[in-house]
Amino acid sequence: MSSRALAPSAPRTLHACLLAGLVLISAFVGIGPAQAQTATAGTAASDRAGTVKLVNGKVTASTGSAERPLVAGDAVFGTDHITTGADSSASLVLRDGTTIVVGPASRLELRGFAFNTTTYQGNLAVMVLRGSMRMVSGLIRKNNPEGVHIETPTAVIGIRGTDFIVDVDPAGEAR
Amino acid sequence: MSRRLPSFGVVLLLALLASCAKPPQRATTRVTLLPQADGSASAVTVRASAGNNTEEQRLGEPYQVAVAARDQPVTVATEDAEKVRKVYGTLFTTAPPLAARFVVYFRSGTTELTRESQQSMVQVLADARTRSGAEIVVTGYTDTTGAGDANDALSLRRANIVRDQFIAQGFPAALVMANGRGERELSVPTADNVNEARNRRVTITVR
Repeated sequence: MSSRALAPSAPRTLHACLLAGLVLISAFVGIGPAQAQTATAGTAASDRAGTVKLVNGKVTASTGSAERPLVAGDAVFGTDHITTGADSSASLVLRDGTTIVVGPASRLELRGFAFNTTTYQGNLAVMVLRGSMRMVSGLIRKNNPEGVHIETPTAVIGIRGTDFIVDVDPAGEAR
Repeated sequence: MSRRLPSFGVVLLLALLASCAKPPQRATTRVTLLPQADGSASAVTVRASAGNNTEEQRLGEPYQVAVAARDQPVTVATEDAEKVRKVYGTLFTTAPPLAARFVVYFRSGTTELTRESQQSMVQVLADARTRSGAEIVVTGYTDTTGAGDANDALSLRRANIVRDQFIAQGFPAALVMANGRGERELSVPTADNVNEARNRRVTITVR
């Protein structure tokens, strides 16, 4: 019995992968309701982290399960996940003046934003999962470079200046 | 055997999970430093987020590119400026235009703007109408007369007076922000408790 399990045939591996995937999905479903609650709280006007400027093509944002299309002037919240379609792009400006441009076929997650408009203290965390992002950093970085945290699946980026591009290729091919 | 089987199953599941999870781990990150709009010096650092290669690379020149792939050292090269603009064209064409900045002043001892400043208010609205997703950020400042906390509140009151005027002109309230910076960022540096008209100002940023 153990020998069969040790040397699984190709279809069997696929099967196990699907099973493992199901385990992962059920783990995510478990997290789901907690995220949905955050989303409800995140829609209060005071929680606006930024504003959408330009949109080309299909661009959506979601907090938890609720997905909405983004248009110019829309609010963006500190836990929004932003997705752009092929040939689509969008720009947004956060309350501290940080400009984010999201390129085509990209997925970017805001993982926290706080900004005190009196002291200019705050923090910003961004995960670029795939595609490209250009960032021109704002007052949070200017007052505290450690306050901005940018990550991809393979790198952590520290900002000592303001204008740069982060590009994540999920397939790992060099451009 | 019967006791070992479940743990063997767990190991197998973990191994399969690891093999399933492998494709996303091949992701490659390219970080490109761009020149500053004002030509000043700039830099970013790039560090691999996992594996044994935690060595950090620093990009200090425009168009330097750092490449970070799983379990490989971060490499740095210099890219052609034109090629960067071509490959990432939409990141330049979708960027919003640079913000515009205005300063308005109050008539001494009043909450009324000076005549010049009233004209600036008209310019602000005209500028905002040209922008997609336009926002107006109103920031109040005080001089150093009085306590810091009181000045925070006073600067916010002044900013709100200006904000209300934009809303009265029909600009969407959600897109006009009022901030109070108190006696931080003095326009004319002074000692504490100095009455200085040029520090009692409100700046307006249109973006």
